[in-house]
Amino acid sequence: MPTNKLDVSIRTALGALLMTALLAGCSKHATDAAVPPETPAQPAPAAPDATPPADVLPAPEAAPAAPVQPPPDAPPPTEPSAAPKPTAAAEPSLDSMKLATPSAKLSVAADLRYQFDGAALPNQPVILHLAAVPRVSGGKLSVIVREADGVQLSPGALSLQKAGRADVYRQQFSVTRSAHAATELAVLLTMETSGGSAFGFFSVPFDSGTNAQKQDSVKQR
Amino acid sequence: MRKYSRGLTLAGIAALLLSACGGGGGGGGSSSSSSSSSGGGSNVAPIASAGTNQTVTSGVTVTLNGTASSDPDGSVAGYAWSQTSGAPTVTLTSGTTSQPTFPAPTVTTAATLTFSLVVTDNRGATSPAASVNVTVNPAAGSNVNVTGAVTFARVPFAATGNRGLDYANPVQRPARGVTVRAKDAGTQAVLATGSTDETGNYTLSVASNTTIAIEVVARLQRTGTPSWDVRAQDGISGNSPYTYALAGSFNSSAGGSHNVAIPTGISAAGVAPGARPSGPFAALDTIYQGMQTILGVAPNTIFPALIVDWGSQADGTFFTAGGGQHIALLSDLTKDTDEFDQHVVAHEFGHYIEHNFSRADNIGGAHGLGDMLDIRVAFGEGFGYAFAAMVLNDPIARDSYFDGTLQRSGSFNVETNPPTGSDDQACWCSESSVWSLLWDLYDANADANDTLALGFGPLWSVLIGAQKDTPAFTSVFSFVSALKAARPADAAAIDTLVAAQQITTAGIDAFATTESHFVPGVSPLASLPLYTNISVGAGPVTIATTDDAGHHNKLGTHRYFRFTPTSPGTVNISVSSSNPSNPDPDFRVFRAGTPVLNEEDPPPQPETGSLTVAANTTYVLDVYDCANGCDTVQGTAGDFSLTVTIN
Repeated sequence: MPTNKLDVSIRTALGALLMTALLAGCSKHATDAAVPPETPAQPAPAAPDATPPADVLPAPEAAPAAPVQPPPDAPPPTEPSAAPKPTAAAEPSLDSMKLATPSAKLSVAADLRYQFDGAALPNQPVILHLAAVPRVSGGKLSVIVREADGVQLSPGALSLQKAGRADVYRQQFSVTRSAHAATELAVLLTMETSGGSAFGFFSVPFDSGTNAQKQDSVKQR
Repeated sequence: MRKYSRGLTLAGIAALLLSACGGGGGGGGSSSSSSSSSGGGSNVAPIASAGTNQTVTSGVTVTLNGTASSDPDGSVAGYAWSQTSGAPTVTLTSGTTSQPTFPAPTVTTAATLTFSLVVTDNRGATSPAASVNVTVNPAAGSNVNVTGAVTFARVPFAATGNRGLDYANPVQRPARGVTVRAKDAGTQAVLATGSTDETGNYTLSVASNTTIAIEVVARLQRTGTPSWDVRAQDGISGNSPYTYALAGSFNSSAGGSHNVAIPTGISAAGVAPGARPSGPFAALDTIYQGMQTILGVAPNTIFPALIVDWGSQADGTFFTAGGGQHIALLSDLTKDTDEFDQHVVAHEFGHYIEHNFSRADNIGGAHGLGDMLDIRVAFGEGFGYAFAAMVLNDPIARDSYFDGTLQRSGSFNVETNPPTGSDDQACWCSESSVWSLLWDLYDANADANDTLALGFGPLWSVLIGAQKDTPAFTSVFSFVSALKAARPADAAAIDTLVAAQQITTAGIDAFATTESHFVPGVSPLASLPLYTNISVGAGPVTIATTDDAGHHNKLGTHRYFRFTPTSPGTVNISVSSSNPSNPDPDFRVFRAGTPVLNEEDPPPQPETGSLTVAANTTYVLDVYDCANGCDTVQGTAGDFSLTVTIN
């Protein structure tokens, strides 16, 4: 069952806002000395191969957006909140975004960073900013936010034919979670390199907490 | 007395033909199941009766009963009994009497013996054969063998492209080495336990005439030499391995095969409404195959206990030796499940092998295809996938997932050398280079640069020998230098393979002292030399660290020093960082891979520690700033200097 039931006028307005934000969609890694640092307040030119959300402005090379469908055994999603959708926000700087955690096995050579514009409170829409940053050049980069129980997402997926090392590929989603929703989102990244094709599921927790304290971990390999 | 003419009369020929067709008429001779005449008049064939079927117990005297045989126009004059099928063959007291006997033989499972009776009448005609079955059950109180075969459903990859798993076409495979139990159907008490063999067959010795149920346990277990104990269980539901029960119950003396076919529980569309019974058995079977690879070169291997956590894993697929040795396997059918991904399972088992029988200095952590890695990680992960290809004799590694719409898979070929001149190029820091190199050393396929076909034995010898004892970190450098030393006749061919991975071959040693291939895009100062010499009391030494290739376990985040004290005593080590915001230097000291000092405290800097050292022993120091080198992101990564002093 589709989760986004905005009427045409609202979709048009939201699309314009998202498009504005997406003009800042692709910029170089702030720490890469070869390129200017990011300027979050000023939209950066979009890279030729940066693809906005499919429901906003499909690029010629954009793959069809993955349909947002619940798994066959999933309960019906919670009805949308009556609260208005949030407007698109300026993109946060890359360094201010948290690193999403990939699953612990061979994955995609890319970092996924994320940031919510505010607290992801129950039944309150919030903008989720995602930024994929490849560590090696490749192709067929895609970013798909997977469905989660009790979470409504604006549809869309990022899909690029080429991805450059340390380039930043951004995407925004409107996210509304119910009171009993999943505690995190799973984001699927796929990419091809000369060595083969790889994928990775990254965890994006709604309550991301802080990384300030040193953590011990059991070595996993 | 009737005289016979020399030639047959027309009537005589007709009579013979009628006789041959079973009809009446004159003429001599007889045949079975035919009537005959003798001295004039017809004779109807007798009718044999072998009695009713019997079920007896081993040891009792069985009497066959042919007394109900009859002859419509005369009398039964003779009996001829014979055993026509069944084992064992028995000896009748007399095969020519109406009621022969024999002792019911000793059997371990129910056996059916079939006997035939032919009778002859008083005029020489014989009857058609009659038969009777005698079923012999084992004697009460004795054991019987219950047998069968166990198979599990494996979901294969789709035949073409990266289309993921083909749930519509599962295939049954023998469940090798798994535990099988016979349980009392009433009390559920375990009556017998055994394991399946190489073909999935099992034999259990159970008390006769007992109503039992068969249960298959997801556990590989063998005692003695070699030995192993590997069980698959739900990661958060205790220590009980998964089980699968054969539906229903049966009498242990019933005989026959009690086969168990364990299904996937997954629909053709990839949906599982309930349990997924074959999953843990699929994972175990890959591990079983991995053990066979090791046993092929080390037949007396004692494998330490291993637990496969599957069914509730959401944190990833990995091997860990913390808190017992575990292989965790993802099990989320809606995203990523790994029980049928044989290369993934065998890869993790490779980590277990390296950890237990060689040495794994691998610091773990997330890594992606094409990453430039810390050399310890590159070797461990590269070995894992090379080992998987060797176990499965399949160089194409695949890992399945569900993208929300379609079944998909990632894949790569360990036979393919990484490219040169790209971001994911061949490198001493690339797991792709390591698996490609190890595979070329192993395989018999003479592709580019590859004239070697060493098989697994020589690689194993290095892994359990020099690689295990190297004073450096375990890496492609320690492995290759040891292999060349062990096989001088192959040194040139090994060099050819190594050079193809953009690794310097001249003077190669465990500490990579001659390595000169820098990695584009990664600060040269933070790349080579891999190990910086430092002397006790010789003043500070500064090196560079970077996040150019990523954080934690990527190239340039952790830097190494080595020092060899000339005299025993206590040394004081201090490390500071140039990180302008919240510097947090940390370090660890190793002796031949064994950590002897861990100093990984929070700020402020410098990080310091003391260590009692032995003379003329090489120590390796791993230093990093936490912003670059910790496994969880802490602070802002970047290019920093690390200054080390040892006094």
